[in-house]
Amino acid sequence: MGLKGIAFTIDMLIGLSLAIALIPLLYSRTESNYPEVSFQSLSYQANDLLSVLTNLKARSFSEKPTISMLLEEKIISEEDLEKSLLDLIGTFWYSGNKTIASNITKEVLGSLSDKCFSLQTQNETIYSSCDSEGKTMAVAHTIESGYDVGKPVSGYVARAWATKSKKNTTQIIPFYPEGSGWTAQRLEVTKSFALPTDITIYNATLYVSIHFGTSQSQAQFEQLKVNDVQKKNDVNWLYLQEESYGSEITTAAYGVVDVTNEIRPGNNSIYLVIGTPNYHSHIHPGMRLIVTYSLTQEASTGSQSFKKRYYFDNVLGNTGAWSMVSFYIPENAKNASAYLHLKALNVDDTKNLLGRNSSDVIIYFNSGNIFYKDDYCSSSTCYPLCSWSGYYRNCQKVGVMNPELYLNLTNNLTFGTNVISVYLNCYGDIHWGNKEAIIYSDPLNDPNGSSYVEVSYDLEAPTFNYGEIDLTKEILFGGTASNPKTFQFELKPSQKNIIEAFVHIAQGFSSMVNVSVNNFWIFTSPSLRVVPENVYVYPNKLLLGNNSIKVVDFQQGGSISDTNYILPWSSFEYTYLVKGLVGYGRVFNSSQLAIEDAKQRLFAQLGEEGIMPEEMQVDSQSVQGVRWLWGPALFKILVWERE
Amino acid sequence: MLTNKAQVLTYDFFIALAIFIALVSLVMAHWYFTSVQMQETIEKNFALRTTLSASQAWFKEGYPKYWNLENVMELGLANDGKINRTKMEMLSQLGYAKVTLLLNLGTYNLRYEIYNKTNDLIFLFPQDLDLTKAKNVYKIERVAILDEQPVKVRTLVWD
Repeated sequence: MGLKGIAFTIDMLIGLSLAIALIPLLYSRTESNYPEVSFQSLSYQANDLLSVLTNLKARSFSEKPTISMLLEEKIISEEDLEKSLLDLIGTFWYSGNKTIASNITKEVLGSLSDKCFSLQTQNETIYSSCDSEGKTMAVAHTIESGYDVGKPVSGYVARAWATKSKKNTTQIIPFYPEGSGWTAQRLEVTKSFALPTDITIYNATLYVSIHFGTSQSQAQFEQLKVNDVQKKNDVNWLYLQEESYGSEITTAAYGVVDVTNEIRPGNNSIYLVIGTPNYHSHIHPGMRLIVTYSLTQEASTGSQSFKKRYYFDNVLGNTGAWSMVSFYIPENAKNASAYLHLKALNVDDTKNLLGRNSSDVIIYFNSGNIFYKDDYCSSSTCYPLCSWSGYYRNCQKVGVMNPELYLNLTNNLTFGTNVISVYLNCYGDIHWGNKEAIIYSDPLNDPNGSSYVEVSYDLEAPTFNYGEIDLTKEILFGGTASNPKTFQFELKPSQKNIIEAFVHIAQGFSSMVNVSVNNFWIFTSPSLRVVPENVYVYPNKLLLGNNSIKVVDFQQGGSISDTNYILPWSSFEYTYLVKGLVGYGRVFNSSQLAIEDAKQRLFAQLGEEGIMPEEMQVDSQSVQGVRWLWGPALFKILVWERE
Repeated sequence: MLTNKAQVLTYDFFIALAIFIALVSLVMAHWYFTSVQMQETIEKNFALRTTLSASQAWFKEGYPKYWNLENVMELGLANDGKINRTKMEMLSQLGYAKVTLLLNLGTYNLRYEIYNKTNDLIFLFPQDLDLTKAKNVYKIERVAILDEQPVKVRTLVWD
């Protein structure tokens, strides 16, 4: 009896195992249909919808509310109805009118399919007919690029360029720092220059920067003739700085005079005579003539090879004469060379106390060391060893020279600003000899016999291309006289293509200067009183928007000068290019309309810079299949079953 | 003296046997119904494939590309992505029997319906086939282009 329980162990366990093994079979299912068939159906329908969008023109749906509204409001034209629906949708989508694109999709495809669908492009959904996504989704895709709304796909385009333009521009004619007239003797400076002959002068302003007189009341300002018209009494003295050194009193003066009526197209001359009773008179930095005129310019291509002459002013000093000419070599110049032609007259040939010939012609070039001397120097400054009284060295005069020199400067050239200083019977505050000495220059009548620096260099590319017009402008620093002085200014986007720029430093008393633009060093005086009339600014250091120029006057020892101020009439001069051409513009239905449009665009572009095209050429072309604005972009249609 | 062998015919044995037979019967019944269901699914999927294939005739060109009543070898009613109206109107001239033969429909019956944008029936092929006696009807609705307008193409297949 006790063994009956065995049936519940072995038999039942076998039976239960079989039953448990079969139970899962009861819940096993097969798929109701093959998923591939369902997916294939969805895929066909996705392709059908895409085919409608790509193969049907918008005109087929012109009765739909959105397209109808766009037509009524003339946002789209009849021509736009010839575009494919996908083109139209893409155009609005990629031009930012996403609601319009979405509405067109909804109105067109919503009535054609009872499945869920979504039109997407570049991972953005243009329209989706269902909120939720399906488990199985079929995708059809295509790449499309489109036409701009309102533009015909064929027609005429035109471009125009000015072959002759009238522009208002500025030309700056600098006077070099130069001297000198000692102890009431006269310094005579004659600047001869030529302006273009076919100009209309609107304004001519002469800034005068001189060292004269022992005091302001003893100014020895004898002549200021502009084309033989006396203007000395018309000068408005803007700044007078009187300084004393022991018992010696001297005055620096800065003034301005309007010479618009005196300056004329073509050849001009300005004649200046100044002196000072006890010291020596000379021209200070910042003396310049600024002429604003209109000029008719024909379109041309800029040169790649340059040969320029920088003529000295004619300087007649008593005793001794000096002048300092600056010129520049662009930072991208190749094969740069330069030479000095100096023609000096009436230079005293002197001997020192020991009977040795003194150096009566001394030339400095980009250095504090002497570049050329005509004879013996007893010291680095080349002052002759003679008896002296004050600033004067009483040397033995053995004759009068008219030296003519040709000096090759090429090996000592530097990129940027170069400065050459010529001294006859003088250097610094010391002079010797008996009477006048002349740095001869008459560029209008005797160009080859005058004193000049001739500079040659090549550029890899022309400074301007055909159709580009150069404009020169000047901005005064303004503000107050100070040292150092920082000037901030703004360059507009239209002025981005600057080809030349200079700083014109105006000073009363001066020593040596350091100039930087946007914290980039551009010039340091190599020796005493070398403050060039033009400090070249590398155009690539200028920025669109805000810029700053900093000028510091310092002493030879390096300390900042206490009384040598940078004056507000210092200026920044820049020459930039304006495009005198406009490219192909919109597509028009007629050649005449396209040409008119090109002309208007050219007038508007040049008008902003005050340039008036006087003659222009236009070029009209017919075009077909113009593609505009957007694409290529990937469009996808997804289709899935409603849940 | 009784041995343990005689105990196999006790009521424990019969209970276990009954459970076993019940389970086997259940499995057999389930197997049968599943087989029937699978057969129906296979037939349904075949019919759906046939329907898809028949609908595809509206979206392909056929062979020759521009066939006529004499030379048609593969039935296709579209050219350049759009329904060719000439081909569409030749359907009735081809006749129902030839159309179903070209579409390889076998024992299935076929009906094409085309609706315009406003859901008006604008084309029917064949004109006179009755669906009232249809056992299973399979349908697919697709979008095509006819005369530069979108149309809905409904393909019905039944047995």
